[in-house]
Amino acid sequence: MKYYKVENVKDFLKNLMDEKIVEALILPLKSYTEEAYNPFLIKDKSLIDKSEPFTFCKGINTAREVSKLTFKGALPFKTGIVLKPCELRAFRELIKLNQINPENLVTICCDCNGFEDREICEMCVDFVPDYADVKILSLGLEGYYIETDLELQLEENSGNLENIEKEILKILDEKRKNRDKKLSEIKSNLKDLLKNCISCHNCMRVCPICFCQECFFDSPALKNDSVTYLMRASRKNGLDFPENKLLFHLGRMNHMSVSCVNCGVCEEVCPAQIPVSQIFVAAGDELKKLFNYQPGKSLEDKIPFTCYQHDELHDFEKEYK
Amino acid sequence: MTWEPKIVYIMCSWCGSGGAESASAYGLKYPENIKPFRVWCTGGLDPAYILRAFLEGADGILISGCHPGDCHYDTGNYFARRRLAALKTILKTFGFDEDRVWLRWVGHSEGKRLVDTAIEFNEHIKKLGPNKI
Repeated sequence: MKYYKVENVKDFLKNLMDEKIVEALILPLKSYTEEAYNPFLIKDKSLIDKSEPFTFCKGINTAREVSKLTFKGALPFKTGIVLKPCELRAFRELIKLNQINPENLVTICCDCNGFEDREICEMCVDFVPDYADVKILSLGLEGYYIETDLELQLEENSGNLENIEKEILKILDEKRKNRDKKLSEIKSNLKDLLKNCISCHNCMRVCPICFCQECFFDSPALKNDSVTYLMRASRKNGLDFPENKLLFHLGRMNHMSVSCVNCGVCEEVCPAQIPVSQIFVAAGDELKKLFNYQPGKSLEDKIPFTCYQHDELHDFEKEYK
Repeated sequence: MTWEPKIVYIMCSWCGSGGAESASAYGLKYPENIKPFRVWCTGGLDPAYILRAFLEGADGILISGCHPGDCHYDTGNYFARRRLAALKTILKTFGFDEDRVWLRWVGHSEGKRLVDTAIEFNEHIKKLGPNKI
């Protein structure tokens, strides 16, 4: 592992392109409307000047876009992707789900202290880029430090990196408190939180983990004929529309919350301002404890639903006496 | 009119349903408010089906498959156990009654075990009362 100190991240990215370590880059750039940032795939390094490598693209998880990029095969040349830690986790989780071909992809990831107006960032406890190819460290430091295994033509400088741990622990402590407080609120009134859901399924469509081409909850399996609707109405003491709100959220939770990387795009795009992401954190935390699994970390750890042990989870079986 | 619980009994095609066959061969009876629902393998049982029954007003859901190590498809029930553990954990997290979902393995020849399970679960749900969801 080598350390380099850089003053300006944009110059560093240009340097990567000059040295042909990467030939193309995906990074946030001002979109055509000039109001928001979107991830752009660029081959021209002059465009880096217009970029903002550390912004969050609203409603977009870059990992999901990268999975489209490699859908029909690996990239032919080295491509760098500038990611946030949550996007990096999604990226690694998608590799495990066979949705991204990681060949020729170089992940460039910064540490991140959250963004304004994103509640999920206030409870994020995983903001250090642990598994990136190029890590950009800035928390508690002056300037930027690059930590990487790649051979760069820069001067090595491991400098003053002691502060970083202190700073991280400080932030972690604060965010943990926030997280515990919010989660206990959410766990106790799920039905109340979901009452405004309009069943648009936006949260599912932007989710990096929800990669299915057709979702069960969009499928004709959930459509009823008119008689059945009437039966359901009398059985349930009135059927509230849009129907299947609770089923959609609880069902989706069962399908993917064990892989949920807490990136928060789902609640960003929610037109009804439901804290979807925080609800998924509440469920995901329990499952991660149950299966002792951290999504988006080591590629060796299998996703819990794709493996099993012979002797486990006997608490969930009912014993016959 | 006394309230009768609505119970869905999800059985796998090989052992759960087989257990029901054995029960009928012995002339054993299980309560009539229990509705059997056959799936090929408990491993192919999507939690969404259980949730759907649960949210549409079933008072209890009972799941039976082959004993671990005995699955017709070798490993299906191990995956089912993981999925059900996740489902029950999620239900518990958000304050739903996770005890309305039971998993108990029943072998093909264990007709008595299947009927006992059905009766025991029926009594259990009667104690819990209707599912208010």
